[in-house]
Amino acid sequence: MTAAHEAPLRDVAATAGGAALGLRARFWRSEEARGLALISPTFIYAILLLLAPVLVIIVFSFWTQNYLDIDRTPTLENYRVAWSDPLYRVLMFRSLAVSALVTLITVVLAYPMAYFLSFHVTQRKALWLFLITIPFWTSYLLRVFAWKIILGYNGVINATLMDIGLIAEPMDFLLYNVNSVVITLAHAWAPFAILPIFVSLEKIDRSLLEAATDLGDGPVARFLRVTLPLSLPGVIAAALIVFIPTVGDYVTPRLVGGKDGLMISNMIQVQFGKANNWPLGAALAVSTMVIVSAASLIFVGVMRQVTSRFR
Amino acid sequence: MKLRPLGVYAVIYLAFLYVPVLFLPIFSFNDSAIVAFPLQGITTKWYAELWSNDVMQGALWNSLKVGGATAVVSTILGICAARALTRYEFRGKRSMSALIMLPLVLPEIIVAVSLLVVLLQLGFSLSLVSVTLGHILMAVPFSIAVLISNFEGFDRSLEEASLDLGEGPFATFFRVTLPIVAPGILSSLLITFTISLDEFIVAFFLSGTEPTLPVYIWSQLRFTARLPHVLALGSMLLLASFILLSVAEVMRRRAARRAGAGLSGGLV
Amino acid sequence: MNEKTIIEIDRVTRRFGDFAALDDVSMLIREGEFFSLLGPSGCGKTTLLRLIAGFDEPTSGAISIDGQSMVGVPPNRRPTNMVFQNYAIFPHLTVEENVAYGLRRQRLGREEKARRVQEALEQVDLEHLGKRRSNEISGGQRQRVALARALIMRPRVLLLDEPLSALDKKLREQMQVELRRLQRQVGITFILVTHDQEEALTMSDRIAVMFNGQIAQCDRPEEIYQHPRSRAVAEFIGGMNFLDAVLLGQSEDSIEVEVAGLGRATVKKPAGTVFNGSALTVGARPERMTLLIDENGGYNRVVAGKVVEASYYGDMTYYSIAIESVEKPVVVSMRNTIGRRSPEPGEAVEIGWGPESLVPLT
Repeated sequence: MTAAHEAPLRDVAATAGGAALGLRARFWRSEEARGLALISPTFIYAILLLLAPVLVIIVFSFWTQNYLDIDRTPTLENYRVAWSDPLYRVLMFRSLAVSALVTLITVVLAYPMAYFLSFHVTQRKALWLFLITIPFWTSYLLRVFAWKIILGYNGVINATLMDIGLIAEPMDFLLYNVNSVVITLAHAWAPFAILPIFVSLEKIDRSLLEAATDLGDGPVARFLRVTLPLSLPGVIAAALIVFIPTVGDYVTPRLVGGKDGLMISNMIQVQFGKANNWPLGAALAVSTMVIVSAASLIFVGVMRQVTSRFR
Repeated sequence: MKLRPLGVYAVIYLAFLYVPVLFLPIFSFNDSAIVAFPLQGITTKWYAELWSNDVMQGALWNSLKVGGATAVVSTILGICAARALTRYEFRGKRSMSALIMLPLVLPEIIVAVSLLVVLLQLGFSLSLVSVTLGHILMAVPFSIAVLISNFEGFDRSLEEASLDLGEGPFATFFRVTLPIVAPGILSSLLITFTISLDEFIVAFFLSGTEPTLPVYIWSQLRFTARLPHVLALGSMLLLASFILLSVAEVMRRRAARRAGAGLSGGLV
Repeated sequence: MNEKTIIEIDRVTRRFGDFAALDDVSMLIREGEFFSLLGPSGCGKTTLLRLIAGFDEPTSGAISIDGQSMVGVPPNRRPTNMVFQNYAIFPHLTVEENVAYGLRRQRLGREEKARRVQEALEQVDLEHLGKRRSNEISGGQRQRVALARALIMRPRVLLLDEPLSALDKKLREQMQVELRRLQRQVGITFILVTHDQEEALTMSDRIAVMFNGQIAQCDRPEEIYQHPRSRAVAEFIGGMNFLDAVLLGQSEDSIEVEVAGLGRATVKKPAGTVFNGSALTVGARPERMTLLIDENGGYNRVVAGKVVEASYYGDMTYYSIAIESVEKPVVVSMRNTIGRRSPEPGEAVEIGWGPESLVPLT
């Protein structure tokens, strides 16, 4: 027994029949230890299958591909290529621009819907929420595919318009460009934006709104001075939940983007597939993560500034 | 209900969410390989042809295996984490849960590519096992989200009351804890199963020679002639998801009621 | 009431990190008494109750129930049952199933079990609600279910953790009476945790007032109210005037003091206490003094003052009276009986008092 054990032991020894608990035994009986033990399987799983693989990708991005084997001398060459080659730059900028636009559209469209759900739906609120969350779960691939059959060269719009004689030739500008990517993404991610905004609106104490009215605000002033500022955290969360994953979206640009609508993840896939240049693919992936994180942090910082000005 | 502008907007919004997807089942019954209105007649032949397709049946079987394994493992991991997060305070709690929940926002391609590299570097060959490993990672955050609202409403004094009334920890678990959280766990199983059933990217990168249903659909998209089959298969997948999710929602609500929590919890 | 000890708390300390929620607490609780642990939130009263129930173990010290040491005995093996603050009614069971919950281990026949459940429900006037689901009953009814569920176990000691705090005032007062009646009827020891002094005074045989993890005073309600040992106890229970005094001399059971503004008096003191130094505080309850309006009610001491403020409470009025050479006005309460004239603010009055109005405080 070490000296550290003595102090608690003396206390316990004084009690009638008190079991002598060492410090270590105490720790394992403590709340903290039980919590750690309970979360560890899930946490270790996330470390092994998420954190470690991402670290491996980062390490890979500093190596070089030599045909079939890998040269493990550390180099920044992949990053130089990834950041200077116009091909990758164009894809990266397009990804960011498309995501930013999609984020703006989804959040702006989602806000009134979330507001309606929170303030106007009194009965069957759970049903409304359920109706909105269903598309959230159903196959992403199929939702994107649906737009392909709507907008496609032989798709619903073209074929139907030709059938009723409004157009003679299929319109080819509907599909395979940036617009179709934006429309499809905005549709596919719409439900994701509603929930965070809805939650933040639900959290607003309704008596605050009554207080604002009582102090002389009309409905518009009340919305701008109370409701909107208080729901901004939800708006920020919604924007991030849409922005971060869509930058790296693969399915939509591949299915409805054509040549002009391709995004960075399509190039990452090419590097890991046909081009067989893993380190370059890794560098592109890491760059995407870094740029998305930086953009998100800047966005959150700016929004914090905006929020603090409201106060 | 009065016709308010916001109400009209909400209905249009819902229509925007649903109508594009509804084209799939509508055209899956069209008696023509070309998707255009008006419909050329109603037929179920695409479904019949689909059913006799061996490759599709193989893919279906693969998806069920992956989905079942994903549901069980991710729900077990979800139970551990949700219980730890709601019941205990410990150092590093925030950063641990942040890492575990990260797949919710991380672009899927990053998850897929990094798993691909690691598995191949470690000498594993791609199989349904690698798909399942990836799907578990993606499904755990959703399981936790469902279970946390269930566990949060769970009042610790209920277990204490059971101990106080003479039951040991084991009997307490079976008489109090389990009946109250069971609907939430069932809900988590169904939702994680559905996520796995519908997931494409990770399966696409990690599935090797055994495709899951979405990977199979992807492979068929190239062939214009196969389009009606894809529509039929997609429709069935949508229907299956819809049923599974509805049951999950009913279970989740029952869980919320039992735990005494409001209905607004859950995914929110 | 017999004098047999049912619970012995022996030098119990419970630390959470550096914070001592209970600090070397010792006391005896007698069989069949209605005992209250009273104190502000965070004083350690709930911690003590949970130690008795077995949901927590002392850092040091020991608790024994009925002569048996409870060290290491889990809650399900203790002869205590608890009514939880939020009642902890099992949401997935009906009222009857809740009440019957603890009977499973007693291996009773079905009819015996049903009879016991019915009996327990009748005891708390819920016999008509047995089939209800637990989310279909009101707060007051939930409390009764929690009571029945604990009493059916026939515990040696029933522990009640702020059982009335969630109820509204009317229902709370009604339940106070009913709990007291129930305790007399079943005759077992009740230990009640509460922060409501009125509740503790009306219901208890004895009260332990707790501050900062220690017992400040443990006594009968009248003693606690009339003879608080310390200013903290006096302040927590009821209203009291605190007056500076100079100690002139002390004997076995009394002290001689010069009280600022009032004058000299010989005041009873609790046996065994010794006052050191020359300055002390004496307390005077507002109703232990009177205003001499138009008559002199036999009070042997009189001091002149002026009404500053009158607060009307319905049955009583509390007057703040400014007295020369006393910094804070002295509060005197008067019953609003028929024919009594109420002095207006600004009016000169006389306060009647006596040595028995005063309590020396530590």
